[in-house]
Amino acid sequence: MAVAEVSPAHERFAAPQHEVWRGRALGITLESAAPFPGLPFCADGAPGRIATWHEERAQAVDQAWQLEDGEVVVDLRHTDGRVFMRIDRRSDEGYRIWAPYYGRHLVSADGRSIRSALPNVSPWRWQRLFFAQTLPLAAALQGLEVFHASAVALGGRVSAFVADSGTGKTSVAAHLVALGATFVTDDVLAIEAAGDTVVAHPGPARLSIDDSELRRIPDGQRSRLGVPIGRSDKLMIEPEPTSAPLPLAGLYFLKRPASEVSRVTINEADATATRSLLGSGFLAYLDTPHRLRNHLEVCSAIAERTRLYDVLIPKGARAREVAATTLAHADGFAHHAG
Amino acid sequence: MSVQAATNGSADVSKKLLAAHIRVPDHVVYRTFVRETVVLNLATGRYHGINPTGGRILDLLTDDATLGSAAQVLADEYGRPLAEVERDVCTFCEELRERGLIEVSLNGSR
Repeated sequence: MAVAEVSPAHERFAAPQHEVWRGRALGITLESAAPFPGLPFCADGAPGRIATWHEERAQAVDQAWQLEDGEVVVDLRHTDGRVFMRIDRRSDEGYRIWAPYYGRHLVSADGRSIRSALPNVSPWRWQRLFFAQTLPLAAALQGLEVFHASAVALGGRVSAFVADSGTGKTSVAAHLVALGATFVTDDVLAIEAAGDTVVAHPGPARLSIDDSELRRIPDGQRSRLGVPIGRSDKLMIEPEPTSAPLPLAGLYFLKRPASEVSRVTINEADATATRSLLGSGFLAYLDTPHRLRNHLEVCSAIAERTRLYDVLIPKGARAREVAATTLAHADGFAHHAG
Repeated sequence: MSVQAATNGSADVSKKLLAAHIRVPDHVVYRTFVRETVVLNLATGRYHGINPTGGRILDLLTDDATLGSAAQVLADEYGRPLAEVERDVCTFCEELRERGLIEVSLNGSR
């Protein structure tokens, strides 16, 4: 499969721009001087929650943030001690997110301003940090609740998948898209409780999948996932997310290996669902009273207004089988509900 | 004086306790889910799960019931001896109070 490289960020963003470009993902309309790769263009005139994005030189970002003044809230290291990712917080100014080779980003305390110093690599590479941490942080600071989940849309309603890392959220979502569902998001889901409904916001046009999993998708269906744009430990694909927020219909907790079943089985969620839901929140370091309260409110709304299911996956079951079973289940539920 | 001490004390103290109200402090919020009630202490960031019966007690107490009147309602609902339910309600409130999730007003005010 051919991998298309996109022009490096410093070229893409070097030219002076006078118009504001708007793209949207995770419920945030990002205003920038030029198109932001991976962000679907925001065509409507109701931008909603806005964050402005500026690319700056590393020196300018470093001068704006004196490390010794901050509180380290995340410090992830490689086994040899090198920094993998570090996040600092200053209560009055906001957050600094830094990962070597992925850039550094300053997010204001209100989530409305993002300033980034980017490495000289293809956008899809540095965007892995931006879309996994920076934009979700801006969304959460602006009142959206973010969950560690992947999601697809079926019949105009969203089904989301929650699981521990490595359990197959992305793979199941990818197979569902191959089977005809619409992509919503990969790995980070922004949720908003609005009136009587719970709304799921589409994520960026990015899906990171194992080569081996992609090969399990039949040739005739693979193109539905979108165009491959890069490869690191996984293949990065550019799917087309749903164009607007949609109601969240159900949340599926993927549980594997489930020794009590011989085939993929979907049941009403058991008594652990509340804790699983509360525990699936993203950005645990964002623990202000306002955020904690919002997280509980949104979890309560999800539990009350959507359906929660356990997907019991026996040892050896493929993501394809999980996707097919989920598709049949969601279709049945939609017909029953409709 | 703790709720537990009051429960173990004289009849007068117990009467006073059963006439007490509780208050949920500003740093505590709770929401009822299908199988449990989740109480969140915003000051510590800790979640506390309580079973549906505990959730029912909390609902009654935050709806202006005294410990005694809440116990009476529960004794009727569950068909249990009043004295037993009064002890359970007092013990439950002591556990919540120890965790900073409620305040108990023994003088009757909220």
